[in-house]
Amino acid sequence: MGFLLNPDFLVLLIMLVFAVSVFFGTGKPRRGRVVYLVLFGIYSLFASKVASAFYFVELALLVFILWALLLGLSVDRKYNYYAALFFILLTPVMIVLRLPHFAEITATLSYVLIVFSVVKDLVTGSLYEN
Amino acid sequence: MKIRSKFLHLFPVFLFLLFSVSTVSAEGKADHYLGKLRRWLPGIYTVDTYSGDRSLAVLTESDLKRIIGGAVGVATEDEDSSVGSIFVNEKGKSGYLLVLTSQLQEFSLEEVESIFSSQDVILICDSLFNFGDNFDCGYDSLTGASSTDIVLSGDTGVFGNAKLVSVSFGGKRVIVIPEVNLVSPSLSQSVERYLKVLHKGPQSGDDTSGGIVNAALTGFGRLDESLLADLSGYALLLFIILLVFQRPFESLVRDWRVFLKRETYIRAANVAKSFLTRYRWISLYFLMIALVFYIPLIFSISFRDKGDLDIQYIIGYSLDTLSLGNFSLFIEEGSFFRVALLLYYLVFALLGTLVLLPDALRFFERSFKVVFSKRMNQRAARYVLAGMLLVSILLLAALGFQTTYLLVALSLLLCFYLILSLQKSFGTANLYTRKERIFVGLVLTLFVSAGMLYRALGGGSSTNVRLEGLVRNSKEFVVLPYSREYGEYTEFRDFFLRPDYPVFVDDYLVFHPAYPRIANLDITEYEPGLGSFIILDGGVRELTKFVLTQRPGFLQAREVTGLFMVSGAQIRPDLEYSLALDIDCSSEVKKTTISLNIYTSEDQVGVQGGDMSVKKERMPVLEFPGCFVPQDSEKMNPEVIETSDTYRVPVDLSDLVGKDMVVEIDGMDSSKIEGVRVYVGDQPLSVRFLVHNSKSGVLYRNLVGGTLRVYSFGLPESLEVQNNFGEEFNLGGMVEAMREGEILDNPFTIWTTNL
Repeated sequence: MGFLLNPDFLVLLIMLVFAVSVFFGTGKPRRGRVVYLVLFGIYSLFASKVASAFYFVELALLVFILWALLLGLSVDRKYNYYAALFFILLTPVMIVLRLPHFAEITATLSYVLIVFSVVKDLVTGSLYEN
Repeated sequence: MKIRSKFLHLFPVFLFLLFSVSTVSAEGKADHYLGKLRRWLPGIYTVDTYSGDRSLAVLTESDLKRIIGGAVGVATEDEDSSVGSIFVNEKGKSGYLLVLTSQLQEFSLEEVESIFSSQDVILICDSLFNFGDNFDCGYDSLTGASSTDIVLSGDTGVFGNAKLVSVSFGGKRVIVIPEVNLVSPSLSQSVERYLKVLHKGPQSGDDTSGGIVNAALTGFGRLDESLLADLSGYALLLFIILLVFQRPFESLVRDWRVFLKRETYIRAANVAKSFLTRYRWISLYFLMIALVFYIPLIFSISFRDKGDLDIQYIIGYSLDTLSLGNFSLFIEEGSFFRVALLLYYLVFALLGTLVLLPDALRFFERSFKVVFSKRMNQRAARYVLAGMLLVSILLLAALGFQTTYLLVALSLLLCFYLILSLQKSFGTANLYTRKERIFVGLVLTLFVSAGMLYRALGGGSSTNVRLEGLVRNSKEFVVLPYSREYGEYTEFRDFFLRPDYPVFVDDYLVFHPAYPRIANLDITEYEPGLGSFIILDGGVRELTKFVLTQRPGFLQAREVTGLFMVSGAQIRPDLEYSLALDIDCSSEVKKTTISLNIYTSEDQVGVQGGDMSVKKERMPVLEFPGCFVPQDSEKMNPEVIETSDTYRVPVDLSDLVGKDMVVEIDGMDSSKIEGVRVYVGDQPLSVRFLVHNSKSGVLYRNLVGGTLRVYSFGLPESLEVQNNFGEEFNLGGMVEAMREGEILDNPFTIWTTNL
């Protein structure tokens, strides 16, 4: 019976309850949202106790990244292209100012934004409606 | 044009600030005590700090002779010199002149009387001083004063005949304080209390010293200084709190349920937002001013340090300053310019935040609207949702929670977003049809079974193991001591080296170039006379246990150290003990508080054997004023410059009667301590100095050959190591063996020392 107290088993149980509530929902959106939040809270407590002492910091970073990702996918694609152009132009300026480390960052950002814009073009129309 | 010229005028001010802050200012003894006493009694001055141009003068001896007889006291160092006036005061000025007896050594009795009768004086006795028939005082003595004038003698009868007196002389007050009262924390509390009462009480000239005594001792001498003042303070605090939280309190009184409503918080946030938006121009204005000051300041730093405008240096300097980890270092080094710059950055950041916050809040608000207003493609979103959940569960079942917790968290967050978006777009929680549910249910069962089966067959554990190098890949080389963390599933690769120095991992010696066979043992296994051995330093608490139980003779130091042992048989009740410290003042030593950390056995039964628990008691004993840079007057006389200062202060050992103790002097580098003596009355006690070598990590070594025994304090498990000379030493393998044996700390430290 010891395996019942195993964190792996308990977390799997939480995930299964989560999956069941998603796939076999009651039809009441408000109650469903409360259930998801409670399950996610329990999961987070487990993760902070068992997996990582910095879990909540990591979670905050994850939320931030997710927000940036979803914002990038949601906004007009021109924003991404203009931002990429801005960073491309900034790169030689950084090199002229003898700041190669910053030039590396701006170049990377412009590359990421271009790739992101292409992905957005592919996703739009499939995940989001036009 | 006008603005430009104004800033041009400001530029030299920057440069002045920049270069002036780094200069080291010398502080005299009188200045030190002035700073200390002024906190308790404002209005104290020394001749150097007394404001008023005409009250200070550089006088020739002929001038002095002409002036003497008035409200003037004078000391001259050189008959022909024009330098040397010390005390010149205008009549009618209030406040206390702070004088050290060492400054009065050259004065005649008449001159001293002249000084004392012309102004109120605080006299600190740092050397033997005789004031005629009135009193004699010294560093820790005061005699001859009339008993009616004694203020704190009854209260401070802890240390022999040290007293503080207030003597009325020629209508003025002379407060005589032996120096020990200012360097001993326990005694200086009494001085603090007295001077604070003096500050609040009647001014000098009134014959009310007795009244002041009562006020100092009872604390309820005057109602307006205690109860009424306290009540007024509380009333004021209450008033301010009510003023600040007036609206929430009103709402609470009217209807407490308003705090349960979401609208309340949204309204409060909107009020804050509109306030910030309306007044952001103020922040912007100050931000621009800060920026205008900052640019020339930071450019000046580049010119000062590099002789050129170096943007990379400026960025590096700024980042270095901003690193909060360096803050304590700046304080220790006395780099107050860096501290000021850090505060400047913080103000800058605060102003920047206030300026940007309204826009940032608006941006976040809009971005969330944009993200959640997108209409999802229902079919695609449902597939993505199901796929993500199923894959997460499969990975969780197969690899375990430890490995996948972040992935699962990300998946849960995305699922939540998809569910919210789908519900918003299509307004229902039943996302899947009956057929889809059956299909998903089957896949879910299959995935969970497959994942658990995979783990049951050992797949999960082998996947978890992460083989890592002893030195992280990102490091080109490391310098010992090297410390690193490792994960639960980390295994270390082999790491071969040929060291010509001893290698320690945590408290274990794993390699020594001269000793192939090494036995790491706990100190409790120590046996005398077994050949080569070393004892690692495990801190004073552990050392105390060892010393009190084993009484090893070899740990006795021949020279004075900052650690010594006192036999409890010498400590008896009802006797007064004192500690004398000789401090080497041949080089600059900053002022500091010196404390004694006294370690004793919790119960004497433990001394007989078994596990002894040690109690640590911290006792501040000396507020060391620092080694003073000789004043100009002292520089003229080489005899005045001393190389060591001796301070004798009372110590309260009444709670330690009959207890053997190990005493550590804390707050002063032991190399600066030239002598330590403990007295009972005037009789010195016998103390045994102990070796104390925390910097090298090794407390004691005795290297003669054979097996090398390494004794550590609190070693979890013994470890024997056999190395073969001529072969490379596998440090990675050794660390891995220690990890497997669960004796490796996390993080662990690889270090070395001279043996």
